[in-house]
Amino acid sequence: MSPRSRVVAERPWVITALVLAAAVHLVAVLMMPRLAQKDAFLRLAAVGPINTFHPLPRALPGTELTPFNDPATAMGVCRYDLAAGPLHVRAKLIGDGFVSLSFHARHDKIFYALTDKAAQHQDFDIYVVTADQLAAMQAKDVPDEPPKALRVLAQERRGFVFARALSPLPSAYEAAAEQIAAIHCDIEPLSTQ
Amino acid sequence: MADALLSLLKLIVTLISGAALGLGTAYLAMHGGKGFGAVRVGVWVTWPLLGSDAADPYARAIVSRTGEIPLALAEGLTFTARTDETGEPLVATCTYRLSGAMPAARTWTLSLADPGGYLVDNPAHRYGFTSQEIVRAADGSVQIVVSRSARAGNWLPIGNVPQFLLLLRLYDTPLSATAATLDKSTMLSIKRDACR
Repeated sequence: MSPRSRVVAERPWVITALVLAAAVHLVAVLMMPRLAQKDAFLRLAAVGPINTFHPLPRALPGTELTPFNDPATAMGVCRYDLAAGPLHVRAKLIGDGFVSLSFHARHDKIFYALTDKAAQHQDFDIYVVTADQLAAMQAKDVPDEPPKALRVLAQERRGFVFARALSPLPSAYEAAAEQIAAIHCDIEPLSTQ
Repeated sequence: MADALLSLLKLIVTLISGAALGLGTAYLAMHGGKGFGAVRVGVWVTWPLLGSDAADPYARAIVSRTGEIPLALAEGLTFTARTDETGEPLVATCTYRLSGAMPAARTWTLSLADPGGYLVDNPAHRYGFTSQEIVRAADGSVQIVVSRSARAGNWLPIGNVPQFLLLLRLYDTPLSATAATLDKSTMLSIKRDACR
């Protein structure tokens, strides 16, 4: 039997193998974010407890917690768990340099981001909330009075807020690090608001 | 009996080869690029959707594997170059000349990393340039030399790695939404010079 006619004769088995391969491929790719042992959320756990903002050490060779960092940025992170209430992220903007916050779900999806250009009154004032917490906050809102802080709906209960401040010159790194240190994040239980 | 044994054998071979093929292709997909939606501009590649909630499952799988924290689309865009203009990988034994214009952005930075994305130590302790510290030509164009040995002007040292990649980050760029319309002439070109 030629190799070609052998394949034809074994076609049901070949098709079964290919269908199985496709299924295994899809499951492997879709499961990866949940199975990854060293994703950003887990790597960033090294900097300190959850629901607190931590400036990251300066990105230098051999000390980086995660790859693909920009050596010209000072960085910080707040890993959060919204189980006990919404996360309040606050920051006073010090200079006029580039500062940004990005909001990441636990499994590597960015659901919101903003830069200093979108800041009102030179500060960031943001609540990260679950759908239930958002509804509870809206129920307490005064009619015809827009809420003071921005509310961002989180897709998962856990995640992290990542902050970047650009240091346009090497001598400006300390200023960028100060900007990062001026960021705070805390869980504020709904009953206290 | 022989038939039953043969069928059992075929079933086992089918299951093993199907699983191996599925895992193998998944492995390749997760180690190749950064999912679908790549935008190529000359030697530079960016994945605008990586920084949005529209990231595809492959992109998310890759990001969770590498542990990187990509720039969100609203923050800017990261362009990666792994090769020179001729398609040859960037190697430490060669000198490269980067020249040309830069796309519109509030600020940009250029940095060098090993193929895994980590910074590389070098005696000059210089890991990149920003748009503000670069020395420009009279016409505003940018020239940067990437090499292991020290050069005058805008010199980016390579450090002790066999291969490397270059990362160009555009912060607060109006291009974010329309990266697909980028033109090669508005980006730095990477030309290989002498090799040792």
